[in-house]
Amino acid sequence: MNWTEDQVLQLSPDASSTKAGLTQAKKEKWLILHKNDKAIWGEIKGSGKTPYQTVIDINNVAFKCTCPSRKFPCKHALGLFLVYARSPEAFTDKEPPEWANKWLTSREQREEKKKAKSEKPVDEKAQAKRVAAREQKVAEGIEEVTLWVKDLIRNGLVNIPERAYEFWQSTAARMVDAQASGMAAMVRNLGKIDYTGEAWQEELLRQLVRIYMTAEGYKRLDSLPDNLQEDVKSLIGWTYNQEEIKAQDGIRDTWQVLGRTDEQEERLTTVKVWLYGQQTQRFALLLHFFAPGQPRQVTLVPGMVMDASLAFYPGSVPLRALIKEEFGTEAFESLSGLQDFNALEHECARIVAQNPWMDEIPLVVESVIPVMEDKQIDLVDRENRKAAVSSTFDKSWLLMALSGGKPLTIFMIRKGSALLPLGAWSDAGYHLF
Amino acid sequence: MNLINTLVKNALLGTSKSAVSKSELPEAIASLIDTQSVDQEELLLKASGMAFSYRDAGFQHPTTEPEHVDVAPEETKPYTSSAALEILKRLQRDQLDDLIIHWLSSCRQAGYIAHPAYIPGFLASGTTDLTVRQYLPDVLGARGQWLARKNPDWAYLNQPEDHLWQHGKHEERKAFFKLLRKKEPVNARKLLSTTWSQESANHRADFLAFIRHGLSNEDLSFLESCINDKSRKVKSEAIKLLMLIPESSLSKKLIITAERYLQARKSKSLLGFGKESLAFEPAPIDLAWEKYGFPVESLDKQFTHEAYFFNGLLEVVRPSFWNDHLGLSSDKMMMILVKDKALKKFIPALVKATALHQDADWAKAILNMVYAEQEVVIEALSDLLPSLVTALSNEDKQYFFQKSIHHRAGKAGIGLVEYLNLCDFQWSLDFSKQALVKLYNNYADRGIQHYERDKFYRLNASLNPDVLKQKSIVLPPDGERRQTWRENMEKLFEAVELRKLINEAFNSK
Repeated sequence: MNWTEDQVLQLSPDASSTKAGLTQAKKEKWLILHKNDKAIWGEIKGSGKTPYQTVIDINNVAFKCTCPSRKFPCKHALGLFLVYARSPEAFTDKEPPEWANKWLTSREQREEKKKAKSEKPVDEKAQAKRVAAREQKVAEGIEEVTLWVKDLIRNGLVNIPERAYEFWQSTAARMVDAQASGMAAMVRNLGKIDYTGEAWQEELLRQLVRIYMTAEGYKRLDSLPDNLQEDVKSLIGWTYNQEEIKAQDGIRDTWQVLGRTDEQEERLTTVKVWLYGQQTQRFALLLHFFAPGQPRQVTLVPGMVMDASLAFYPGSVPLRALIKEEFGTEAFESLSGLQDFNALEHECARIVAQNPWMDEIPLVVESVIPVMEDKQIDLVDRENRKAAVSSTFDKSWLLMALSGGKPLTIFMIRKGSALLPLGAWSDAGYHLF
Repeated sequence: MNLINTLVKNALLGTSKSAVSKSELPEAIASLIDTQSVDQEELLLKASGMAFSYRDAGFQHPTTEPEHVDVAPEETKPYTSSAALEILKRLQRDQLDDLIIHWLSSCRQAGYIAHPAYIPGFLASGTTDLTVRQYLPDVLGARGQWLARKNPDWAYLNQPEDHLWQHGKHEERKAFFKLLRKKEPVNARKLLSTTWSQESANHRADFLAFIRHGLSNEDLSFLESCINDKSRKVKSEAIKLLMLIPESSLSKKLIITAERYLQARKSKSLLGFGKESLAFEPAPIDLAWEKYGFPVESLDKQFTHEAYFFNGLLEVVRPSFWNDHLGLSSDKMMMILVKDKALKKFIPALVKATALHQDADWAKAILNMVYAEQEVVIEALSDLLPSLVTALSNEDKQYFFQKSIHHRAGKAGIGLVEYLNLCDFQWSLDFSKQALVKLYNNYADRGIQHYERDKFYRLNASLNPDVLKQKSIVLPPDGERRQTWRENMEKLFEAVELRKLINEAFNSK
């Protein structure tokens, strides 16, 4: 695929790396610039005697540089990739030198090893023992959080906004101790409600209900359908062995990267990458978690298309996935979506019926016109149905400009009853918000 | 949904005070809850859970009346190429404001419009930046005007051009007037006339100062009317401007008054080649000039009252007049003056007049004297060297660059990079190379100071883009870091390259 500067810069781990990468993005700085169909590589003078050697796998994006930087990708890798995006003609075709070839070959070997490892049988006895121990701990935590929610409801929520931030923290900490990290996150989210706004009362009740229903679901886990059991366990914070997930059959498709959002949870950053399969017409969500200071290795950026096989986490509406195998990148195309808001709501109803806890539903809707009134933006479908855009959406003017009063195909997330656009197709291609 | 409101109300008060009654619940929900086995809290939580799911799964968006959809008119101009857009992205990301202006100007000139995704950003910039704003009506196309109508902050795009003049703050009006005067001098002056009587004295003087750009005979009657202005500041500014127009009656009167004080003489010689000289001839002072601000009494011991009066006139009379009146070239006159002990005191006044009238021939004559290290001329320069350089032809700017006039001027001199900033034309490759080599010799060793960085960067507008192929001429030898030099050169070359890319993106059809 043809990489743009924007796409390359989205790979940068932070602002200072972006700035430093841009200083290296000058072809004159590079002593050599070469490429083949798999990779690009170059040499650049550093502070030492020998130049740094940088190589990038452009199909299954990955970087390697001999500089001592702990950033990933380092400024040289970013710079080299930027030079490629700006002036691909500056790279001459060549067979990779030994240092580049060594890394590229080792990558291929690692992939094969991983594949072989994943095929090894799992020790089911030990696994069952671990699961039983954890279930016991979680069950205790669930009892505690149920009582806590009921206490709140009995005493009334009216004074909640006056309570301190720590009010949620102590319960969240107990849920962490109970190995119910998902439940802990749900409790912490209560502290993120805007208590100065008008609708906090309903939102608070909604989230408390979500916690209660999750707890109740867990207590009756055995009576639930298999997939719903997985949904509940996932909400509680039940983690899965990634190798086990990858061991499942993958779904191969050309996956369009439609959006990326970064969310801060405590000290952990969660990067959500939304994908859409062109043939399977299903969404997938890749989650990446980063601790402070940890290099962010997210090589998928909106606007790219990846031929890959994805393995989905279990659930009634499987969405979260892992990349099982990548086969390369391709050019981005438009895609078809739901015809109107009626279809959108049918789709949402179908999903909620299967998984009532699902609070972020990805959707692509065609022929939507954004309309602005008193700086408030709504979306109108082809049947003149009007839907409110989430108040957190801050690119209203860009959306209006792209539309010009004409229908657009929009990728959005439905959160509650509000729609949050994440990208739209216009004459000039896909635009990320 | 009323049920949710009721449940929220109960939850706020607490079930201990406000319990949920099963009879309040719709049958569809009530039938699913076994009220015997649940307590009040569980009843509320379960009923709420079902109500929320019920609403989420069955939400109906309201249907609005088919309203008139406000669609942006079709564009009549083509969108810029993707290459031009990529450059714009880079300029915006690196906040290269001067190059963004160049991009906008090139886009307008080539008859293209920016892609809609850029409209909100440009409209937001245009609210505070009038330089950006002037390009927007053309560059944002019909979509830009359509979008601007929806946001009161961007209303300026669809307002008549003089809206800012009629309703803006003083600083905005000044900026608007300055731009308009540069672009359309006659219309600017006509616009100023329409509000002149309502402007305060200070504002009148401020606007009048901008009239100097594009000054012509057409401004005469307006400026003459300003001579009788109540404000001394306005009056003085108007007089200065009138003196810059040779056809003004004030300018003509000034010349008639001044010409009798200075005469040419030619001594007789055997071969007929007489020696030329100049003579100051005192004449009675016309006191009427005092009202125009000319001194009629000397404040300097070396000047008589008459000489002092003449010196004042000399400061504003266009210097080329003396060439015609005395039949002498500028060079010849300068030569005579520097050698004449009695007359050399008039040199500073001539330098001032040259700077004021931006006379290229006289500027060259004066700078030739500076190059010849004539102390009296160097002292007379005071801080006027930049004004004299600006007056020079492009060819002479390069000539005096080679002569290092900026350095020759001693105390009145300026830095090399300042001099090059005054050479505001497109440089030839040869001159670009000369300039870079000289800059290298002057700055690479000592480094570039923080306050000089902008001046270096601004050279990107003049440097010939072909110089990019010869960057090595200013690269320090291997092993020598010269960090600030390297960094600034890198930034400068990057800007030259971007400027080149902008030109190529808009010129390749």
